[in-house]
Amino acid sequence: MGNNPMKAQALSIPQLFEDVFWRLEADARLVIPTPNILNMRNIFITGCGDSYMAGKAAEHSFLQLAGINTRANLALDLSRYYAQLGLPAPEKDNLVIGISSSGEAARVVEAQQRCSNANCYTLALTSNATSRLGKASHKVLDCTIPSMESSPGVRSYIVSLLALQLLAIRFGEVKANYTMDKAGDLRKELFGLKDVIATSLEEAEPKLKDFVGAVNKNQRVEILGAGSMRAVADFAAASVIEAVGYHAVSQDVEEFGHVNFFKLDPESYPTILIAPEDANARSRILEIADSIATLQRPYIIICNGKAEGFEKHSEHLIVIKGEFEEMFAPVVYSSVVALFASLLGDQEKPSYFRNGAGVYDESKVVRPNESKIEI
Amino acid sequence: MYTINIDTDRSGMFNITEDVKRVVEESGVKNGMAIIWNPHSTAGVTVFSPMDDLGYEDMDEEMDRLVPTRVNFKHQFDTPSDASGHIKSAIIGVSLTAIIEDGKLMIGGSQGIFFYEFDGPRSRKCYVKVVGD
Repeated sequence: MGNNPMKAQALSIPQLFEDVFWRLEADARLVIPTPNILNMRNIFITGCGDSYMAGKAAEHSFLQLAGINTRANLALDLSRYYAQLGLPAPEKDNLVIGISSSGEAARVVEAQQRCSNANCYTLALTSNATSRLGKASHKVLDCTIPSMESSPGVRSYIVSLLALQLLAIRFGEVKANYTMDKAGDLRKELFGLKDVIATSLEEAEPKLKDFVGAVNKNQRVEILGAGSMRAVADFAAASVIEAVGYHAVSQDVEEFGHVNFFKLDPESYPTILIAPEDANARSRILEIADSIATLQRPYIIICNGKAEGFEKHSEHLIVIKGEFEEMFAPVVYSSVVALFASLLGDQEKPSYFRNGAGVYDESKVVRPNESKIEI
Repeated sequence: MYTINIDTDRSGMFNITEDVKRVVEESGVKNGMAIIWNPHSTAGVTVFSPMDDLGYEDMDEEMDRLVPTRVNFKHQFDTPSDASGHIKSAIIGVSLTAIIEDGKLMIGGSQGIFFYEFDGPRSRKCYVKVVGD
């Protein structure tokens, strides 16, 4: 493995499940009192970077399981626009979930404080309850994880995603959308994905390495996803940028057909298509797969289950063994794309965040944690 | 010991009298007692009259009047239905003892043995231990 902390983080995800899942599950049951869950009309999930992406990836779970109108908002958007222009009334029936592992991302703190001031019910997902985010929130769900050598966010993103999925299951359970037995089955299914992830990472690595060559050569990549997989595509692009600084773009599957299809030099534009088996958008994903092939872009398709419909793309497939609900797919696919990002660039001397050298020295700019909070 | 499996499709009363009688018959015990035990904390076992289905509704309404399914129980780990179910189970009780004489279960003509589901639908069990004199 050499000195590759990001890869180590990706490979540690199954163990991370063992370390934190059931503690997180128990906390997720109790953090929001039943009366608040039953009164809830809207959920806003906010964060920056991969914290926001975790929220976006879990959005549909809240819709599907809890039946509550849910949207993920970038922190700047929520704070300076939605919270200022008017949150849905009655504000007390809005739950705002602010995500920041450190609890010090200024924009997230600001959004949370503004929403708390507007009488929304606020929950922080953080590993630091005494942080500014913790103090700005009515409740805190502890997302502390065992530490590993620092790298672009992988484990903190996965834990935030798991916490949100567990909250979604909990909210649906309390609202009696399904029985407690069914809720228990959902929790077990989610926990069981650790085994799917372990197998997937081991089997995907050789094929990912084949594709990495094209990405390293061209120093750019485009990742496509639909629904919650768009958030996984966002996470993949962010991981690539943080890991090696390549030009990485994420795009919705449909929007690819409208916009990104027309990029110059397709032969030098490696592309990843994320294609879960149970995707509601499956028919369109199949069409776009053909578009990518027609463009003669270097590409891989990450899918799971039987890979039906992708027979003509067989040489480009990475098939994850396992069938699981689309709403739970982000945690599996995110693990695979995190591994992919970790394989890019110089494996012996990673340059995460450009090592903060030269123009990337953040002491010369206003860091995200230091940005002025305006209430 | 015998196990009666009950897949409850709702909350409410489920008549298991014939199941218990069958167990007594299979046991071969002529004189003794049958102990009926429910191992669930949100269900009960009781004796009730099976003569009028509307009686079951009366019972449900009284149980809900005594223990409304409110949202602010101190027990918050599961659901409001579960929290109220624990209380109802404690009130109704989880076991019965019935006398067996000459191979027959000595229950009255207007008595039935009921499994009482308080947090359905669930997959449930009820144990019956038949003990001879």
